Amino acid sequence: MIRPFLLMLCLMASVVSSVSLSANTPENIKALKSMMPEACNFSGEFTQTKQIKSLPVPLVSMGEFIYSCDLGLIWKTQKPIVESLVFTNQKLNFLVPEKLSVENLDGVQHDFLANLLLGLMAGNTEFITKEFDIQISKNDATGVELSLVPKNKMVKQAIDSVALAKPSAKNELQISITDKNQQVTRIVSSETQQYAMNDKLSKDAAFSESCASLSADGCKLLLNPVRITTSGQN
Amino acid sequence: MIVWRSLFVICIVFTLAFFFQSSGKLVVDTSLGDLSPDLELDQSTQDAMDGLTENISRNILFVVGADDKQQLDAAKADLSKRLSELKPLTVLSSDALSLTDIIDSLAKYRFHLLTVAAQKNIKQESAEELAKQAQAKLFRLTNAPLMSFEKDPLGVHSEYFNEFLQKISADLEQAQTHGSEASSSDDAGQNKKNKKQYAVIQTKLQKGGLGLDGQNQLLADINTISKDLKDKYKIEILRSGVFFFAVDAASKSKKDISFISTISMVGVLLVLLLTFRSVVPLILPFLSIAFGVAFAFAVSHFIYGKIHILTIVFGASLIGIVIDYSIHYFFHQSQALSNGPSSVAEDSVEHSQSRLHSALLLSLVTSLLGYLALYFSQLDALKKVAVFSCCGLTMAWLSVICLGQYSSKRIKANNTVVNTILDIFKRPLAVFSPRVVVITIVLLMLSLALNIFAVKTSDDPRFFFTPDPEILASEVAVSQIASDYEPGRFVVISGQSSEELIGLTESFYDKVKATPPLIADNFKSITQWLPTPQQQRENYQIQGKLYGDNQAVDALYSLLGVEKNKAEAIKTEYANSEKLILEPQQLNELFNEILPPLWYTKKQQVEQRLVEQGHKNSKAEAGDNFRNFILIAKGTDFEALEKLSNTMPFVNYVNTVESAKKSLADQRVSATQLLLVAYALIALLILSRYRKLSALNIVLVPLCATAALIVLLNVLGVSFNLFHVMALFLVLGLGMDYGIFAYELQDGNVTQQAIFISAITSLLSFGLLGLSAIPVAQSFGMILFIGNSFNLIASLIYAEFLANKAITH
Repeated sequence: MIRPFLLMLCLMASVVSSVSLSANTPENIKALKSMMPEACNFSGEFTQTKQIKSLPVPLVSMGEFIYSCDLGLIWKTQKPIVESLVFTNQKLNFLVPEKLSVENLDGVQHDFLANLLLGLMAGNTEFITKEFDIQISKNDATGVELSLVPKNKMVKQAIDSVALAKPSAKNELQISITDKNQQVTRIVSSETQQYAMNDKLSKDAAFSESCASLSADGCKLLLNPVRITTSGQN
Repeated sequence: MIVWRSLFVICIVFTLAFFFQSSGKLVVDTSLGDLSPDLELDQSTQDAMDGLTENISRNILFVVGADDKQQLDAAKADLSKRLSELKPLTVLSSDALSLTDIIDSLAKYRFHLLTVAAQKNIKQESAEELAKQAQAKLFRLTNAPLMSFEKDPLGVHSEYFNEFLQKISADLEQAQTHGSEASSSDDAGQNKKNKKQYAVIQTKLQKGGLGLDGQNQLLADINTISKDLKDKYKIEILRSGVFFFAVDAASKSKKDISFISTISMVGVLLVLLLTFRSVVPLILPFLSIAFGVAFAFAVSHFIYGKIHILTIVFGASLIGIVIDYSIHYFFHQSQALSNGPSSVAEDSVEHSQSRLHSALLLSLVTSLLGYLALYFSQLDALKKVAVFSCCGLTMAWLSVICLGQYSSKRIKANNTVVNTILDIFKRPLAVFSPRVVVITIVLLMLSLALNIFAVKTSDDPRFFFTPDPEILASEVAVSQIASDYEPGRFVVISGQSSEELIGLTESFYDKVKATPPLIADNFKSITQWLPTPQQQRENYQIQGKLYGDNQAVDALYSLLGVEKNKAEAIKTEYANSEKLILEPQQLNELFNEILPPLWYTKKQQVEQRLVEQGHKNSKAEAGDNFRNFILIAKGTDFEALEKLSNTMPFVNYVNTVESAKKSLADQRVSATQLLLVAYALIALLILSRYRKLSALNIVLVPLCATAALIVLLNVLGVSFNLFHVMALFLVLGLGMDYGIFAYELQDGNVTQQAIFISAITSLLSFGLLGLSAIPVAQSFGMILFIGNSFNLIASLIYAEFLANKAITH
């Protein structure tokens, strides 16, 4: 069964209206759960739109992703640039550029956004409620919308808020991240394929094929995450 | 006489003017800093240390301990909130740091700052490739820059500040992390429920102190908050800070002041009533006390801007000494008047009055010499006591001299009562025939000579105050949980300019890395937070590839399809920033209260201005002094560190306790030498005043008392410290007082009675001081009590000897 899984980052303030409830109440957590995917291993596509204040046009990019709840996520941008981000469950994150060598992705922001994506895809409400203050609001356009405000002060230095919405009509989940400079990144992502649960996921032919075809280096790192040493070898 | 009267009027006017102007708003200082000896450091290092000490002494740490993380977080948040409502306290934590403000403040220096990875990358890649990388970064999902696109189009500065802030936050919160780690590692094998977790809240007291009432109010508020939260969350709250010791010491001092002054006054009152059997003779002594204390208060406050509580404790003991002048005055006035109203007798009265004034003046001078010696110690507390006591004694003396003539002429001592008590006291002294006296003196001097080399000494500065065990236990517990660094040890690097000092600090780290038992990570310097000036200049040059004409920024704008001229602003800013090098001083100031002043610049104002004007600020003016304090982690091999510091002239490893010990030992030795000089000078003074060798016997009174005291303390196994030696100066002064009265007024019984009564009142005051809860005052009082008792015995024997000699003549 293919279930659409949409990730969209949108400008929270522009569409928020009416009631606003604060704190991580059971109602908020229930709303959060309703936005989480049910599948464990799946792949999909995304479109990202980043609005930078001083640039006349938004930066639009698109690509594909593959996720395994046992391993992590490969997030590959294909247009206009080609590079992959690998977020592993072992908390090791990598940047796989098209031509240059693989890099470790260190730093609070990278870790935080990696954990956020992994948390959302895994349906990890515990992580979300631990890291964010959740506010629920109702919106005519998107229905229920959740606003996640980071609790970590270092994260707060870079990210103002993350908004999640799942319009029932479109069967989409929308998430928006507004950074400290009021740059807004919106991503629309859709789940296109699910993979069967397997004890040895690495041997799951369909998943391995999709993973390797998306990013050979990224897939190796996902299956065997090892920190890159200074010489560039892993 | 006219001189004394004029002086007296001037002093009164000054005192009244002072109290009128201050409107009774006197500042009582309760800091413990006055009890810390100056270490043997150069002036700049000492100044730097004073600044650091002042800053650190305003720290109050709270450690919340709980079994449950959620409970801990809730309690910490609640405690922070409640503490922040207390006006005198500022709650500090990296949570409160506005990192955005910090980035804004540092933004102008960004063209000199780069991460190591960025340095390498910019050097290796072409401008076009750098632009492509920046473009990729802009599209990257995890890219959330700390600076706006206009200020940092290529993303290099955000990367630097990101790394910088993480490092600073980690360093500032090290204590907290350390506490958590300690708790979890300790309990690794235990049940999770038994794990205790800790959170640290750092607060800072307002500058300038609170005053006694303010301190007590703050302590009461803190106690109430702690109790409320302990009850509410079932948590443990530990606290640490000089504040708690200072409040405790102030409270003890306050009790001492009221105890000493009340008992002294009552004692003096009883002695005077018993001696004179009338209330009239109370007027002059109490006026002299009131004027003396008021004047001493006014002068001390005028000089220091406040009065230290320890000064008041010592000041309270002055009551027993200043009363002596009135006692001698009354005794000798009544003796002179008892001779009758004949013209011969009038001459006798005048003569007696003149001799009394002369004896009182000499007595004042010797007492002043005793107290003045305290001024030459390097302890501010003793210096202030010296100023207070000298002023108080002088004013009390002036009061007696100027107002004595207006007191009732009918004051007459009740010789029967005083005589009876004196006789009882003197009975055991009857064995001291001239021959026995000579033998005793010889024996005493021999014993002194033998004992002086066997005297035990103690120079531990921790003796200065005995902290409350509960406060001390909390302090130790907090230190174990929340501090990674040695509290009383650090490395000071000295340099003549900022750049030189940074270079020397680097050299120190290089040496540490090359010295196996030492670990560079165990040394925390503010210079680790920023690149060296040389590196900064190199960073600036490297960034030419980013912001030069037709370089990376132009290429990026082109890639993004934005007009090239939009890049002009940042290119111009880069071109104008060549001289803007970030100095440790600016960084230290930026973190203001959170970070103690670890970087010291003597001409801070000049430096600051130069930086702001964009000059090459590293070139300091000749004579400027720069110091960098490096914190040392616990568990460092201090022996290796000391050896290393000895090989580097610009490195000073400071162990405050050991340095204070050394400083106190040196002061004790020099004070002992000064005591010998004082004896020699006083002997010369006596010789020049009386021009008779036999007058030198006066000096034997304090000398014998001192010898007996040293021998006795040695037998009892008491270790000598600086305060004991300082007290010996007063034993000298008081002994000389009694000796001079005995010599000047060789009228037998009356002199002995006067000496006896005045010594009793002094002993009462010193005895009370000896019961003080403050070790310094207690030590001082005890030595003076024993020493002055010996003075009394010696002076009575001497007076008896002089009386017998007069009868024989």
